[in-house]
Parts: sequence; C-alpha cells; structure tokens
Amino acid sequence: MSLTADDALAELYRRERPGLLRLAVLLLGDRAQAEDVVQDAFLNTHRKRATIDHTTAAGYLRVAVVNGARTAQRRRRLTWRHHRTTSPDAPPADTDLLVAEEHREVLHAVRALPTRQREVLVLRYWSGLTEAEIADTLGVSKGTVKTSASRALATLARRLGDQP
Amino acid sequence: MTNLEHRLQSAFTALADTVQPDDTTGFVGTSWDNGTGGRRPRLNLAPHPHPDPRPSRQRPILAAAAGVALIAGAAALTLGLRDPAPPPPATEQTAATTAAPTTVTGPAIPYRLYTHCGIDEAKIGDTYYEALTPLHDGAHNPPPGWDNPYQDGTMTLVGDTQAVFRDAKGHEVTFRARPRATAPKQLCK
Repeated sequence: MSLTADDALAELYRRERPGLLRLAVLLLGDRAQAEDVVQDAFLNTHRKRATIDHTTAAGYLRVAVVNGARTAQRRRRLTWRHHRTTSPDAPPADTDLLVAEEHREVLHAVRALPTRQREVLVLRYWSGLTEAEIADTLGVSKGTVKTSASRALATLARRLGDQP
Repeated sequence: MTNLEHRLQSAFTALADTVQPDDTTGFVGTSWDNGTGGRRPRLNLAPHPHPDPRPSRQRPILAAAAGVALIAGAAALTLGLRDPAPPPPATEQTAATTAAPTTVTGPAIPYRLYTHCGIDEAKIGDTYYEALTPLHDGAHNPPPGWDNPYQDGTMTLVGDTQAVFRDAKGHEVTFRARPRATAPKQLCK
C-alpha cells in the first residue's frame, strides 16, 4: 500500500519537525520566530506535496529553515534599524533563563558572529553535517564552509580565551 | 575534537534542549509576542507528541518548575507592581503594594516584554505567564511611561510559578505561570 502525498507529509512532519525547530532556535535564538520559520517551511512543502521527492524532502526542509531564519534575522535587523527597540543580537531572555551559565557565555559569543559563520557552526556541531552537506544546505562551496568554520572558531577562541 | 568544539557542542545541545515541541497545539506559530505580524495558517499534521530525534538530555529544572500547577494559596503570594512614573493612569491599578520578602531563584536576565496591548502576558521558555495585575490605559495600550510595542528590562524567576519583570524606569510587574497553557490568553496584533 502506498502512502498518499498527505500521509507522507504528515510522516515527514512528525519525523522532522522537532529537529528543525531546534535548528531554527539555534539559528535565531527566539522560539516564537523559530516556530514561524519552521511552519513556513512545512507550509511551502505542503503546497508542493504532490511533486516533492520525499527521499530528499528532509534536506529541502533544512534549506528552507536556514533560509527562513536568515530572512527573519534580516527583518529583525531592519526593524531594529528603524525603531531601535532591542538589538537584534540581544540575548533572548527565555532561552537564557533555561541554560546554564557556562553555556550562556559560549552562546553569546556565537550570537555575535556573522550570520554565515554562525550557520556553519550550528550545522556542523549540532546538526552534525559534513562539510559537503553544509555547503549544499547553504548554497556555497566547501572551501567557503571551511573558511567560515575556521574564522568562527578563531574568533570564539579569542573571545572565550580558548584554543580553536 | 578540541575543548572549544566540545564547549560549542554542549552549549548548542543545552539550548536545543530548552525546546520541547508541543505538537498538541498543531502546526501553529506563536508570533503573538514577537511582533512579526500575527499567526501563520494552521496546518494540523501531527496530533501526537513524538520523541526528540536527538539523544535526550535532562531538561532544565527551571522549565519543569515553571510548569508546576499553581498552589491553592497563590492568592496570598506577593503582588509586586510598582509604577513610579507620575501620575499613574486612572483606569488601572498602579499603586505600589508592600511586597513580602520573596526568594529569588533565578538570575535577572535581559527580557523584551511585549507591551503593545498592555502589560498582561509573558512567555518564558515554553511557559506562558500572566500579570497578577494587568496594566493598560483603558484602550488596551500600554499605560503612559511604558514603551510600545516592547519594553526592555529584566525578568527574574521567583519561586516555582512566578517571575518578576523590572526595567530601568522602575516598573516592576509580577507574572504567574499559567500551567498547561499552550497559547496566549488573547492574540494581540
């Protein structure tokens, strides 16, 4: 018996949503925005459910979440530029309340990195992707991934007083 | 893997573990508190919670504590509401109350409180909170002296079910947890 497109998407949602939501939170630092980004990614997938290849759908969703997070961040920076309410890189209170002090310092330092470097670190050290997979996800070359990771680690080492 | 890489991995895991996807609410965002323009369309695909694909780690104690049901004597707890900005709005309670000593159990963390429809609700982690005494100007705007749509300040968890928001202007509002709430009481746009 073959799955219908809706069944397959429902299964994909059940399987992938938790991991994608965590990825979005790591990229954005904001649970509410992360939920919106993941939701948008699934909505777009839902619209294309009849044509989507479910063997590659997880990768497609991951790219959609990374791109969505980037757009959300851009929007946040734009809002900040006009309204000067809260710095777009300000630590999110709700998550900071829930993580230990030792991790907060690291997360603050990561948050201060350029977007691409932050993305590379999250995909490498949390998602556990290879350089080639990160390159595919971000739409850049493997060399760019290597350079970004190396620069990011050097910056973090400087800020945290650690070895890269 | 270097020490720095280990620290990175641990920090990412700790932050990721603060997320507990609540699939019982369906496929819906919580943009009510982030000013991004309202909710997305709802798409119910996952009626049941399902396991975290990552190795499970212990969830932070604070998250569990924040979800504990309100005790019966909650009414006797501190009402920590002070608004030093004179004159106070006539339509809302802004008088200072004598605060009983409370045990501060968490650090004061920078917090951006959504004030657009008045000071009424907050969300910390996955837990929704409500102000013990909501504040608005009578037309569901923040009272004079509050920024709109956000007020920057700090949030401190006090006890298991309460949190106190404070800002540089001297505002202090006490929030209590809404156990098992999965959505805000009202959607503010």
